Amino acid sequence: MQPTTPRMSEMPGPKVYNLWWGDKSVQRQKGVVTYAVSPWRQRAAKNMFRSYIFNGYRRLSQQAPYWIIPFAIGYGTYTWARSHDEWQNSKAAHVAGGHHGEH
Amino acid sequence: MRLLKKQVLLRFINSYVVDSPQPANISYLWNFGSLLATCLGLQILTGIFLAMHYIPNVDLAFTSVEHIMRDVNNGWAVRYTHANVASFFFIFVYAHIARGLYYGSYKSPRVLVWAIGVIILVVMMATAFLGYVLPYGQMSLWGATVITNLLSAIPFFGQDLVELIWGGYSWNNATLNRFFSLHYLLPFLLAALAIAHLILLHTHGSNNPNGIGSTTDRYSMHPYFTFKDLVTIFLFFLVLSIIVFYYPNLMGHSDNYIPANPMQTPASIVPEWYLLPFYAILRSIPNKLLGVIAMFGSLLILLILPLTDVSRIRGSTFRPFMKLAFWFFVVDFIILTWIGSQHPNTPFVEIGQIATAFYFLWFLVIVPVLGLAENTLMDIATE
Repeated sequence: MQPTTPRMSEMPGPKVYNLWWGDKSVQRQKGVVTYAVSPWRQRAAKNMFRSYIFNGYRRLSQQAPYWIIPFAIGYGTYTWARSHDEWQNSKAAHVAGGHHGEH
Repeated sequence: MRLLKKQVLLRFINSYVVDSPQPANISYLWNFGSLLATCLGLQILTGIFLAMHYIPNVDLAFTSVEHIMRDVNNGWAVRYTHANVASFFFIFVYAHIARGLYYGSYKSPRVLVWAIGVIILVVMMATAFLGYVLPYGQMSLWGATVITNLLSAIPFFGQDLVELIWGGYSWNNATLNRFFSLHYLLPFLLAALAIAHLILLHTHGSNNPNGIGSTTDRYSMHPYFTFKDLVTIFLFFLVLSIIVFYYPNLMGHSDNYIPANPMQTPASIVPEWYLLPFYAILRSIPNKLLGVIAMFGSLLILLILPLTDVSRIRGSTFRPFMKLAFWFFVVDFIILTWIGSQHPNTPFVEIGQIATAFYFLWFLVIVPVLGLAENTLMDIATE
Protein backbone atom coordinates (compact mmCIF):
# COMPACT_ATOMS: atom_id res chain seq x y z
CA MET A 1 0.00 0.00 0.00
CA GLN A 2 1.27 3.41 -0.85
CA PRO A 3 1.80 5.73 2.12
CA THR A 4 -0.51 8.26 0.49
CA THR A 5 -3.45 5.86 0.23
CA PRO A 6 -4.99 6.48 3.69
CA ARG A 7 -4.81 10.21 3.10
CA MET A 8 -6.21 9.93 -0.40
CA SER A 9 -9.09 7.75 0.79
CA GLU A 10 -10.68 10.91 2.16
CA MET A 11 -10.54 12.41 -1.28
CA PRO A 12 -13.82 12.94 -3.10
CA GLY A 13 -13.82 11.19 -6.40
CA PRO A 14 -15.79 8.70 -8.43
CA LYS A 15 -16.57 6.62 -5.33
CA VAL A 16 -16.71 9.23 -2.61
CA TYR A 17 -18.83 12.35 -2.75
CA ASN A 18 -18.45 13.92 0.66
CA LEU A 19 -16.24 16.84 1.44
CA TRP A 20 -12.96 16.17 3.19
CA TRP A 21 -12.61 19.78 4.24
CA GLY A 22 -14.74 20.80 7.21
CA ASP A 23 -17.02 18.73 9.38
CA LYS A 24 -16.13 15.05 9.14
CA SER A 25 -19.14 13.99 11.21
CA VAL A 26 -21.67 14.58 8.45
CA GLN A 27 -23.02 11.52 6.76
CA ARG A 28 -21.00 10.47 3.77
CA GLN A 29 -22.82 9.57 0.59
CA LYS A 30 -22.28 5.94 -0.24
CA GLY A 31 -22.46 3.99 -3.44
CA VAL A 32 -21.85 6.86 -5.80
CA VAL A 33 -21.56 5.51 -9.34
CA THR A 34 -19.97 7.76 -11.91
CA TYR A 35 -20.01 7.14 -15.64
CA ALA A 36 -17.72 8.59 -18.24
CA VAL A 37 -17.36 8.32 -21.99
CA SER A 38 -13.97 8.08 -23.64
CA PRO A 39 -12.99 11.38 -25.23
CA TRP A 40 -12.60 9.47 -28.51
CA ARG A 41 -16.21 8.32 -28.43
CA GLN A 42 -17.84 11.54 -27.30
CA ARG A 43 -20.10 13.34 -29.76
CA ALA A 44 -21.34 16.16 -27.57
CA ALA A 45 -22.88 18.20 -30.37
CA LYS A 46 -24.45 15.31 -32.27
CA ASN A 47 -27.84 16.39 -33.66
CA MET A 48 -27.63 19.34 -31.30
CA PHE A 49 -29.79 21.82 -33.18
CA ARG A 50 -32.28 19.25 -34.48
CA SER A 51 -32.80 17.73 -31.07
CA TYR A 52 -32.94 21.08 -29.30
CA ILE A 53 -35.51 22.44 -31.75
CA PHE A 54 -37.84 19.44 -31.99
CA ASN A 55 -37.26 17.71 -28.67
CA GLY A 56 -37.02 21.05 -26.90
CA TYR A 57 -40.30 22.17 -28.46
CA ARG A 58 -41.98 18.89 -27.48
CA ARG A 59 -40.81 19.13 -23.88
CA LEU A 60 -41.61 22.82 -23.46
CA SER A 61 -45.02 22.57 -25.14
CA GLN A 62 -45.96 19.80 -22.72
CA GLN A 63 -45.58 22.32 -19.90
CA ALA A 64 -47.80 24.92 -21.62
CA PRO A 65 -51.07 23.96 -19.85
CA TYR A 66 -49.46 24.79 -16.51
CA TRP A 67 -48.26 28.30 -17.32
CA ILE A 68 -50.81 29.47 -19.88
CA ILE A 69 -53.62 30.06 -17.36
CA PRO A 70 -51.54 32.05 -14.83
CA PHE A 71 -49.90 34.14 -17.54
CA ALA A 72 -53.26 34.77 -19.27
CA ILE A 73 -54.76 36.00 -15.98
CA GLY A 74 -51.65 38.10 -15.28
CA TYR A 75 -51.60 39.66 -18.74
CA GLY A 76 -55.36 40.26 -18.59
CA THR A 77 -54.94 42.10 -15.27
CA TYR A 78 -52.08 44.15 -16.73
CA THR A 79 -53.99 45.27 -19.83
CA TRP A 80 -57.19 45.95 -17.88
CA ALA A 81 -55.35 48.05 -15.27
CA ARG A 82 -53.51 50.06 -17.92
CA SER A 83 -56.65 50.82 -19.91
CA HIS A 84 -58.55 51.65 -16.71
CA ASP A 85 -55.77 54.00 -15.58
CA GLU A 86 -55.75 55.63 -19.01
CA TRP A 87 -59.51 56.10 -18.86
CA GLN A 88 -59.31 57.51 -15.32
CA ASN A 89 -56.95 60.20 -16.54
CA SER A 90 -59.16 61.08 -19.52
CA LYS A 91 -61.63 63.89 -19.85
CA ALA A 92 -64.45 61.36 -20.25
CA ALA A 93 -63.75 59.84 -16.83
CA HIS A 94 -63.67 63.23 -15.15
CA VAL A 95 -67.01 64.11 -16.70
CA ALA A 96 -68.49 60.73 -15.76
CA GLY A 97 -67.16 60.95 -12.20
CA GLY A 98 -68.59 64.41 -11.63
CA HIS A 99 -65.15 65.90 -11.07
CA HIS A 100 -65.53 68.19 -14.04
CA GLY A 101 -63.52 71.37 -13.66
CA GLU A 102 -61.49 70.20 -10.67
CA HIS A 103 -58.30 69.70 -12.62
CA MET B 1 -3.06 14.51 -12.53
CA ARG B 2 -1.69 12.95 -9.36
CA LEU B 3 -0.67 16.41 -8.14
CA LEU B 4 -4.27 17.55 -8.54
CA LYS B 5 -5.30 14.88 -6.04
CA LYS B 6 -2.35 15.12 -3.63
CA GLN B 7 -1.56 18.79 -3.23
CA VAL B 8 -3.62 20.20 -0.39
CA LEU B 9 -5.10 23.19 -2.23
CA LEU B 10 -5.33 21.55 -5.62
CA ARG B 11 -7.32 18.65 -4.14
CA PHE B 12 -9.77 21.17 -2.84
CA ILE B 13 -10.24 22.49 -6.39
CA ASN B 14 -10.32 18.93 -7.67
CA SER B 15 -13.10 17.99 -5.26
CA TYR B 16 -15.26 20.89 -6.46
CA VAL B 17 -14.74 21.38 -10.16
CA VAL B 18 -12.97 18.30 -11.51
CA ASP B 19 -13.86 14.97 -9.94
CA SER B 20 -17.02 16.01 -8.16
CA PRO B 21 -19.76 13.57 -9.24
CA GLN B 22 -22.88 15.41 -10.45
CA PRO B 23 -26.31 13.94 -11.25
CA ALA B 24 -26.32 12.94 -14.92
CA ASN B 25 -29.81 14.34 -15.50
CA ILE B 26 -29.43 17.94 -14.29
CA SER B 27 -30.78 20.31 -16.95
CA TYR B 28 -29.65 23.75 -18.09
CA LEU B 29 -31.65 25.15 -15.15
CA TRP B 30 -28.71 23.99 -13.00
CA ASN B 31 -26.38 26.41 -14.80
CA PHE B 32 -27.41 29.50 -12.86
CA GLY B 33 -24.98 28.76 -10.01
CA SER B 34 -21.94 29.08 -12.27
CA LEU B 35 -23.48 32.16 -13.93
CA LEU B 36 -23.91 33.77 -10.51
CA ALA B 37 -20.30 33.00 -9.61
CA THR B 38 -19.27 34.61 -12.91
CA CYS B 39 -21.36 37.68 -12.06
CA LEU B 40 -19.80 38.01 -8.61
CA GLY B 41 -16.31 37.70 -10.10
CA LEU B 42 -17.10 40.32 -12.76
CA GLN B 43 -18.60 42.68 -10.20
CA ILE B 44 -15.62 42.44 -7.86
CA LEU B 45 -13.15 42.96 -10.73
CA THR B 46 -14.95 45.89 -12.37
CA GLY B 47 -15.74 47.30 -8.93
CA ILE B 48 -12.08 47.37 -7.89
CA PHE B 49 -11.21 49.30 -11.05
CA LEU B 50 -14.10 51.72 -10.55
CA ALA B 51 -13.00 52.34 -6.95
CA MET B 52 -9.61 53.48 -8.26
CA HIS B 53 -11.30 56.50 -9.86
CA TYR B 54 -14.44 57.06 -7.79
CA ILE B 55 -14.56 59.73 -5.06
CA PRO B 56 -17.04 59.11 -2.19
CA ASN B 57 -17.80 62.74 -1.48
CA VAL B 58 -21.16 64.47 -1.95
CA ASP B 59 -19.55 67.28 -3.97
CA LEU B 60 -17.39 65.08 -6.18
CA ALA B 61 -19.17 61.69 -6.47
CA PHE B 62 -21.34 62.59 -9.48
CA THR B 63 -18.52 64.32 -11.34
CA SER B 64 -16.08 61.50 -10.52
CA VAL B 65 -18.51 59.07 -12.20
CA GLU B 66 -18.66 61.38 -15.23
CA HIS B 67 -14.86 61.48 -15.14
CA ILE B 68 -14.86 57.66 -15.26
CA MET B 69 -17.28 57.79 -18.21
CA ARG B 70 -15.39 60.44 -20.21
CA ASP B 71 -11.72 60.58 -19.21
CA VAL B 72 -10.66 57.20 -17.86
CA ASN B 73 -9.51 54.83 -20.59
CA ASN B 74 -12.40 52.42 -21.22
CA GLY B 75 -13.94 53.69 -17.98
CA TRP B 76 -17.36 53.78 -19.69
CA ALA B 77 -17.08 50.05 -20.46
CA VAL B 78 -16.06 49.22 -16.89
CA ARG B 79 -18.89 51.27 -15.41
CA TYR B 80 -21.58 50.08 -17.83
CA THR B 81 -20.46 46.49 -17.27
CA HIS B 82 -20.66 46.96 -13.50
CA ALA B 83 -24.12 48.56 -13.72
CA ASN B 84 -25.55 45.96 -16.11
CA VAL B 85 -24.01 42.87 -14.52
CA ALA B 86 -25.81 44.00 -11.34
CA SER B 87 -29.09 43.58 -13.24
CA PHE B 88 -28.05 40.22 -14.70
CA PHE B 89 -26.96 39.13 -11.21
CA PHE B 90 -30.58 39.55 -10.10
CA ILE B 91 -32.06 37.97 -13.25
CA PHE B 92 -29.91 34.90 -12.54
CA VAL B 93 -30.54 34.85 -8.80
CA TYR B 94 -34.33 34.98 -9.35
CA ALA B 95 -34.04 32.19 -11.91
CA HIS B 96 -31.82 30.23 -9.49
CA ILE B 97 -34.41 30.62 -6.71
CA ALA B 98 -37.25 29.72 -9.10
CA ARG B 99 -35.38 26.53 -10.03
CA GLY B 100 -35.05 25.75 -6.30
CA LEU B 101 -38.76 26.37 -5.78
CA TYR B 102 -39.86 24.31 -8.78
CA TYR B 103 -37.67 21.29 -8.05
CA GLY B 104 -37.96 21.41 -4.25
CA SER B 105 -34.23 21.97 -3.78
CA TYR B 106 -35.00 23.53 -0.38
CA LYS B 107 -36.29 20.23 1.07
CA SER B 108 -34.29 18.12 3.48
CA PRO B 109 -31.34 17.39 3.36
CA ARG B 110 -30.54 20.71 1.62
CA VAL B 111 -32.31 23.02 4.11
CA LEU B 112 -29.07 24.73 5.17
CA VAL B 113 -28.05 25.29 1.53
CA TRP B 114 -31.39 27.06 1.04
CA ALA B 115 -31.03 29.06 4.28
CA ILE B 116 -27.55 30.31 3.34
CA GLY B 117 -28.97 31.12 -0.11
CA VAL B 118 -31.67 33.32 1.44
CA ILE B 119 -28.99 35.15 3.46
CA ILE B 120 -27.00 35.60 0.23
CA LEU B 121 -30.11 37.11 -1.40
CA VAL B 122 -30.57 39.61 1.44
CA VAL B 123 -26.87 40.60 1.42
CA MET B 124 -26.96 40.89 -2.38
CA MET B 125 -29.91 43.27 -2.19
CA ALA B 126 -28.16 45.36 0.46
CA THR B 127 -25.01 45.49 -1.69
CA ALA B 128 -26.97 46.47 -4.81
CA PHE B 129 -28.85 49.17 -2.92
CA LEU B 130 -25.60 50.61 -1.48
CA GLY B 131 -24.03 50.58 -4.94
CA TYR B 132 -26.94 52.42 -6.55
CA VAL B 133 -26.40 55.29 -4.09
CA LEU B 134 -22.76 55.85 -5.12
CA PRO B 135 -23.18 57.69 -8.49
CA TYR B 136 -25.10 60.25 -6.43
CA GLY B 137 -27.77 61.09 -8.96
CA GLN B 138 -31.29 62.14 -8.03
CA MET B 139 -32.55 58.56 -7.74
CA SER B 140 -29.49 57.60 -5.67
CA LEU B 141 -30.16 60.27 -3.07
CA TRP B 142 -33.94 59.94 -2.92
CA GLY B 143 -33.96 56.15 -3.08
CA ALA B 144 -31.47 56.09 -0.22
CA THR B 145 -33.54 58.66 1.72
CA VAL B 146 -36.68 56.52 1.37
CA ILE B 147 -34.98 53.25 2.29
CA THR B 148 -32.95 54.56 5.24
CA ASN B 149 -36.07 56.30 6.56
CA LEU B 150 -37.86 52.94 6.64
CA LEU B 151 -35.92 52.12 9.78
CA SER B 152 -37.48 55.12 11.53
CA ALA B 153 -40.68 53.06 11.64
CA ILE B 154 -39.13 50.86 14.33
CA PRO B 155 -40.73 51.86 17.65
CA PHE B 156 -38.72 53.54 20.45
CA PHE B 157 -35.29 53.69 18.82
CA GLY B 158 -36.08 53.89 15.08
CA GLN B 159 -35.19 57.57 14.66
CA ASP B 160 -31.97 57.14 16.65
CA LEU B 161 -31.03 54.15 14.50
CA VAL B 162 -31.58 56.11 11.27
CA GLU B 163 -29.43 58.97 12.57
CA LEU B 164 -26.75 56.48 13.57
CA ILE B 165 -26.76 55.07 10.02
CA TRP B 166 -26.70 58.57 8.48
CA GLY B 167 -23.99 59.77 10.85
CA GLY B 168 -25.95 63.00 11.18
CA TYR B 169 -29.45 64.43 11.29
CA SER B 170 -30.06 63.92 7.60
CA TRP B 171 -28.37 62.36 4.61
CA ASN B 172 -24.82 63.80 4.45
CA ASN B 173 -21.26 63.25 3.33
CA ALA B 174 -20.50 60.75 6.10
CA THR B 175 -23.41 58.60 4.87
CA LEU B 176 -22.12 58.45 1.31
CA ASN B 177 -18.64 57.62 2.57
CA ARG B 178 -19.78 54.73 4.75
CA PHE B 179 -22.08 53.44 2.02
CA PHE B 180 -19.06 53.27 -0.28
CA SER B 181 -17.05 51.48 2.39
CA LEU B 182 -19.82 48.92 2.96
CA HIS B 183 -20.41 48.50 -0.79
CA TYR B 184 -16.75 47.50 -1.10
CA LEU B 185 -16.90 45.18 1.92
CA LEU B 186 -20.13 43.25 1.35
CA PRO B 187 -19.15 41.52 -1.94
CA PHE B 188 -16.35 39.76 -0.10
CA LEU B 189 -18.86 38.65 2.53
CA LEU B 190 -20.99 37.45 -0.40
CA ALA B 191 -18.04 35.46 -1.76
CA ALA B 192 -17.55 33.84 1.66
CA LEU B 193 -21.26 33.03 1.89
CA ALA B 194 -21.17 31.58 -1.64
CA ILE B 195 -18.34 29.27 -0.54
CA ALA B 196 -20.41 28.25 2.49
CA HIS B 197 -23.33 27.64 0.07
CA LEU B 198 -21.05 25.35 -1.97
CA ILE B 199 -19.61 23.49 1.05
CA LEU B 200 -23.14 22.74 2.23
CA LEU B 201 -24.26 21.79 -1.28
CA HIS B 202 -21.39 19.34 -1.59
CA THR B 203 -22.27 17.44 1.58
CA HIS B 204 -25.36 15.99 -0.09
CA GLY B 205 -24.84 16.91 -3.71
CA SER B 206 -27.11 18.66 -6.17
CA ASN B 207 -30.80 17.94 -6.47
CA ASN B 208 -31.99 16.86 -9.92
CA PRO B 209 -35.17 17.27 -12.02
CA ASN B 210 -36.60 13.95 -10.83
CA GLY B 211 -36.21 14.87 -7.17
CA ILE B 212 -35.02 11.39 -6.27
CA GLY B 213 -31.60 10.13 -5.23
CA SER B 214 -29.09 10.09 -8.04
CA THR B 215 -26.04 8.45 -6.47
CA THR B 216 -26.11 5.65 -9.02
CA ASP B 217 -25.96 7.86 -12.08
CA ARG B 218 -23.31 10.54 -11.94
CA TYR B 219 -20.94 12.26 -14.35
CA SER B 220 -17.83 14.01 -13.11
CA MET B 221 -17.98 17.80 -13.03
CA HIS B 222 -15.13 18.08 -15.52
CA PRO B 223 -15.41 17.88 -18.49
CA TYR B 224 -19.18 17.29 -18.69
CA PHE B 225 -20.56 20.13 -16.60
CA THR B 226 -17.66 22.57 -16.82
CA PHE B 227 -18.26 22.73 -20.58
CA LYS B 228 -22.04 22.79 -20.19
CA ASP B 229 -21.61 25.74 -17.80
CA LEU B 230 -19.40 27.46 -20.36
CA VAL B 231 -22.24 27.32 -22.92
CA THR B 232 -24.44 29.57 -20.78
CA ILE B 233 -21.48 31.69 -19.63
CA PHE B 234 -20.64 32.53 -23.27
CA LEU B 235 -24.32 33.11 -24.02
CA PHE B 236 -24.41 35.51 -21.06
CA PHE B 237 -21.30 37.33 -22.34
CA LEU B 238 -22.97 37.68 -25.75
CA VAL B 239 -26.17 39.20 -24.33
CA LEU B 240 -24.20 41.33 -21.86
CA SER B 241 -22.04 42.70 -24.67
CA ILE B 242 -25.12 43.68 -26.69
CA ILE B 243 -26.59 45.43 -23.63
CA VAL B 244 -23.34 47.15 -22.61
CA PHE B 245 -22.43 48.32 -26.11
CA TYR B 246 -25.85 49.16 -27.54
CA TYR B 247 -28.40 49.60 -24.72
CA PRO B 248 -26.33 50.37 -21.60
CA ASN B 249 -29.08 52.38 -19.89
CA LEU B 250 -31.94 50.03 -20.74
CA MET B 251 -32.29 48.77 -17.17
CA GLY B 252 -31.45 52.05 -15.45
CA HIS B 253 -33.43 55.20 -14.62
CA SER B 254 -32.82 58.45 -16.51
CA ASP B 255 -33.23 60.54 -13.32
CA ASN B 256 -29.91 59.18 -12.04
CA TYR B 257 -28.14 61.31 -14.64
CA ILE B 258 -29.35 64.42 -12.78
CA PRO B 259 -26.96 65.32 -9.93
CA ALA B 260 -28.43 64.67 -6.47
CA ASN B 261 -30.32 67.68 -5.17
CA PRO B 262 -31.68 67.57 -1.61
CA MET B 263 -33.90 70.58 -2.38
CA GLN B 264 -35.80 68.90 -5.22
CA THR B 265 -37.77 65.67 -4.86
CA PRO B 266 -38.22 63.72 -8.13
CA ALA B 267 -41.77 63.21 -9.43
CA SER B 268 -41.64 59.53 -8.57
CA ILE B 269 -39.04 57.67 -6.54
CA VAL B 270 -38.54 54.14 -7.81
CA PRO B 271 -35.82 51.68 -6.86
CA GLU B 272 -33.87 49.61 -9.38
CA TRP B 273 -36.12 47.15 -11.25
CA TYR B 274 -34.94 44.13 -9.27
CA LEU B 275 -36.13 45.62 -5.96
CA LEU B 276 -39.58 46.58 -7.33
CA PRO B 277 -41.51 43.47 -6.13
CA PHE B 278 -40.43 44.11 -2.56
CA TYR B 279 -41.08 47.84 -2.93
CA ALA B 280 -44.61 46.97 -4.10
CA ILE B 281 -45.13 44.81 -1.00
CA LEU B 282 -43.87 47.68 1.20
CA ARG B 283 -46.30 50.15 -0.38
CA SER B 284 -49.26 47.76 -0.30
CA ILE B 285 -49.56 48.07 3.46
CA PRO B 286 -50.76 51.49 4.69
CA ASN B 287 -49.07 51.21 8.10
CA LYS B 288 -45.37 52.11 7.81
CA LEU B 289 -44.01 49.66 10.38
CA LEU B 290 -46.17 46.78 9.12
CA GLY B 291 -45.10 47.62 5.57
CA VAL B 292 -41.43 47.41 6.54
CA ILE B 293 -42.07 44.12 8.36
CA ALA B 294 -43.91 42.75 5.29
CA MET B 295 -41.06 43.78 2.99
CA PHE B 296 -38.40 42.04 5.05
CA GLY B 297 -40.84 39.21 5.74
CA SER B 298 -41.32 38.65 2.03
CA LEU B 299 -37.63 37.72 1.78
CA LEU B 300 -37.38 35.78 5.03
CA ILE B 301 -40.56 33.80 4.32
CA LEU B 302 -38.49 31.78 1.85
CA LEU B 303 -36.92 30.18 4.93
CA ILE B 304 -40.25 28.66 5.95
CA LEU B 305 -40.62 26.54 2.80
CA PRO B 306 -38.80 23.45 4.12
CA LEU B 307 -41.42 23.40 6.91
CA THR B 308 -44.57 24.27 4.95
CA ASP B 309 -43.89 22.02 1.96
CA VAL B 310 -45.17 18.81 3.53
CA SER B 311 -45.39 16.86 0.27
CA ARG B 312 -43.62 13.51 0.30
CA ILE B 313 -42.50 14.12 -3.28
CA ARG B 314 -39.62 16.49 -3.89
CA GLY B 315 -40.10 18.97 -6.72
CA SER B 316 -42.95 19.70 -9.11
CA THR B 317 -42.04 17.30 -11.93
CA PHE B 318 -44.60 14.72 -10.81
CA ARG B 319 -47.01 17.16 -9.12
CA PRO B 320 -49.28 18.87 -11.68
CA PHE B 321 -51.10 21.07 -9.15
CA MET B 322 -47.82 22.28 -7.72
CA LYS B 323 -46.69 23.18 -11.25
CA LEU B 324 -49.79 25.32 -11.66
CA ALA B 325 -49.22 26.89 -8.22
CA PHE B 326 -45.58 27.58 -9.13
CA TRP B 327 -46.52 29.47 -12.31
CA PHE B 328 -49.17 31.44 -10.42
CA PHE B 329 -46.40 32.46 -8.01
CA VAL B 330 -44.12 33.48 -10.89
CA VAL B 331 -46.91 35.62 -12.42
CA ASP B 332 -47.62 37.12 -9.00
CA PHE B 333 -43.95 38.09 -8.69
CA ILE B 334 -43.98 39.69 -12.16
CA ILE B 335 -47.18 41.60 -11.26
CA LEU B 336 -45.53 42.87 -8.07
CA THR B 337 -42.52 44.03 -10.13
CA TRP B 338 -44.82 45.95 -12.46
CA ILE B 339 -46.92 47.42 -9.60
CA GLY B 340 -43.74 48.61 -7.85
CA SER B 341 -42.98 50.79 -10.88
CA GLN B 342 -46.44 52.42 -11.00
CA HIS B 343 -47.78 55.48 -9.22
CA PRO B 344 -49.92 54.50 -6.20
CA ASN B 345 -53.21 55.15 -8.01
CA THR B 346 -56.42 53.25 -7.93
CA PRO B 347 -56.28 50.05 -9.83
CA PHE B 348 -52.55 49.60 -9.08
CA VAL B 349 -52.87 49.90 -5.29
CA GLU B 350 -55.60 47.26 -5.12
CA ILE B 351 -53.82 44.91 -7.54
CA GLY B 352 -50.66 45.33 -5.44
CA GLN B 353 -52.55 44.48 -2.25
CA ILE B 354 -54.08 41.35 -3.78
CA ALA B 355 -50.69 40.31 -5.20
CA THR B 356 -49.03 40.87 -1.79
CA ALA B 357 -51.69 38.78 -0.05
CA PHE B 358 -51.23 36.03 -2.66
CA TYR B 359 -47.44 36.15 -2.19
CA PHE B 360 -47.72 35.35 1.51
CA LEU B 361 -50.65 32.95 1.09
CA TRP B 362 -48.61 30.96 -1.41
CA PHE B 363 -46.01 30.07 1.24
CA LEU B 364 -48.36 29.75 4.20
CA VAL B 365 -51.50 28.16 2.71
CA ILE B 366 -51.22 27.02 -0.91
CA VAL B 367 -47.99 25.01 -0.60
CA PRO B 368 -48.92 23.16 2.63
CA VAL B 369 -52.53 22.52 1.51
CA LEU B 370 -51.37 21.09 -1.83
CA GLY B 371 -48.85 18.87 -0.04
CA LEU B 372 -51.41 17.65 2.49
CA ALA B 373 -54.00 16.97 -0.24
CA GLU B 374 -51.50 15.01 -2.33
CA ASN B 375 -50.29 12.97 0.65
CA THR B 376 -53.85 12.17 1.67
CA LEU B 377 -54.87 11.19 -1.86
CA MET B 378 -51.79 9.01 -2.12
CA ASP B 379 -52.60 7.33 1.20
CA ILE B 380 -56.16 6.62 0.04
CA ALA B 381 -54.97 5.30 -3.32
CA THR B 382 -52.35 2.97 -1.84
CA GLU B 383 -54.36 1.67 1.10
